[in-house]
Amino acid sequence: MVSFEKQVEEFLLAFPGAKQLTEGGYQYFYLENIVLPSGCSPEKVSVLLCPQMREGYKSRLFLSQMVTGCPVRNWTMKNVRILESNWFSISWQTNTGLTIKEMYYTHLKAFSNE
Amino acid sequence: MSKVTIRIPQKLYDTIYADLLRPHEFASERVGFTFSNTKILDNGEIIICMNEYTPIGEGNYINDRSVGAMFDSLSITDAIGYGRKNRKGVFHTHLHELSTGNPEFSSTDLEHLPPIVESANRIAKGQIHGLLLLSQSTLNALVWIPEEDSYRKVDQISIVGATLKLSFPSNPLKLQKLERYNRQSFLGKYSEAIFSRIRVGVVGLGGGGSHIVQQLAHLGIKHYALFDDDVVDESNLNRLVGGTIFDFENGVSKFDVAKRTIESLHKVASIRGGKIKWELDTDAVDCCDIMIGCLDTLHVRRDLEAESRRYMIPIIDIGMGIDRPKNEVASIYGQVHLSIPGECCLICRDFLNQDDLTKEAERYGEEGGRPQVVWSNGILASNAIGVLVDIITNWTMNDNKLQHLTYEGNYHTIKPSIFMKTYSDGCEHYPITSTGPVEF
Repeated sequence: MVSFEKQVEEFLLAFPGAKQLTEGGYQYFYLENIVLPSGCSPEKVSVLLCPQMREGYKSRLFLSQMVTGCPVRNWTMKNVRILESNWFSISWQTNTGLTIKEMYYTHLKAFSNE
Repeated sequence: MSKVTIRIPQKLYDTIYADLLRPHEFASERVGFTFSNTKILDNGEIIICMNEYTPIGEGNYINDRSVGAMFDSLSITDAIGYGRKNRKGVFHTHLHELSTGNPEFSSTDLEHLPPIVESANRIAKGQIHGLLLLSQSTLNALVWIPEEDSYRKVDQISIVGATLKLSFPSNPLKLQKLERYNRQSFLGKYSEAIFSRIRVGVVGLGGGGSHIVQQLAHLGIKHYALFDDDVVDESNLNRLVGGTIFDFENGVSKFDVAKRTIESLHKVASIRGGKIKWELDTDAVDCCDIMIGCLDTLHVRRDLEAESRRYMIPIIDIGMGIDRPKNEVASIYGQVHLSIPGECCLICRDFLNQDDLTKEAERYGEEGGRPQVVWSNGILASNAIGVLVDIITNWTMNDNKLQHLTYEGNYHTIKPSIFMKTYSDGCEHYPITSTGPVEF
């Protein structure tokens, strides 16, 4: 198992613009204007990845807007307030044992039409 | 001119006061720098959150008896550099040790200190800088507002602790003696004036919130931020104070019911918020002096506490539940939590935890209303108002405010929680240094 610190290092290396933030005991990674899979509208959103257990999900990806043009998803969180911004999230469970980078890609796949 | 408010945690104030009180080898007074993060709200109101302090180092003082404290330029450069690097406001801070009430800047202060603020304005641009002056019990401040191109007194200072110490430097409180508040004059000679100045936020205007609003209006609160996106339903009429059959039949919002209650007692009242979720008008939350949460869900409690902590707003949370095990007597229970910025939060208390948040998420979308009754809502709301009045007026003169009350509805009792003695001093989830706007 790769240590959390190593996972953070790997994630920040892959996404140099990512910012690591905390609030209320949760860790977050903020990424600005990421490109969503083709077909999604809008094409770009900012995202907040929470790589730890939250509301029964092993990790959660919050988007700055709701997305259409992707497979129909269950948007269980709308306008949830985190770090002074409003976020949207679908019900999407990730497997255990993933690194932060793998979690992020797994969440993004939920919006892929392929 | 926009309202300018300074908020500072009591613990930080105490730290600064204790530091400035220390005798120095040759300087007759000490100096430090307090750092802040500022938010400008949609209406131009300015909220300055004081969240760090650094004293001037021993070696930075210069032996010059002509002034209370002379120090080298390096300490100023360091402080302003820190403000610039961390995007914080920089406030020169000193103490008038003999002053007991609201301290006034001396002519020497006003002659010698402004150049420090001017340097900060030039170097750490985009922040609001100024001067802080402490007395034995409170503080005063001058701020430089870039848009106004001048110094000005702040309008309100809130020292946020178990007691909310409020002062209004630009327009000090005056004695008010309206006949309608005669019977509550024991709350303090300025209590009437304070109630008429502060803004109280209430999230959730149903069974609990309707009692809260009614009592706030009777107390003399004139500024509100109220939030509920729901309309009056027939099933609300067993407990929604002020709600009528007319409201149900005409789809009147709970917000409008609350507004009507307030306006029936005050010809002039400022009411922000609306028939919306609080998350959609957070400026109306951030300008509040105190929040009261009357919420059904744990995750919204968590999010409201996070927002309130960010802007140093105490929050009183009330909640009740009724368990109905099959073939057994129903059990009514509830709680009142007082969450003070800098002190243990609802997560520290394990009132909010992953297990319960997970269970709540699993119930997402379940149909059916939970049982609720008017009297237990009223008891919890009345106690929340009692807590609010105590922290604003300190009429009980008790510095150890009760932060958690538990209600046992089957025994008609409400008492201090036995868990309070286990609560930590301080909070690791919401450090004071993380207050103010988020820098993404």
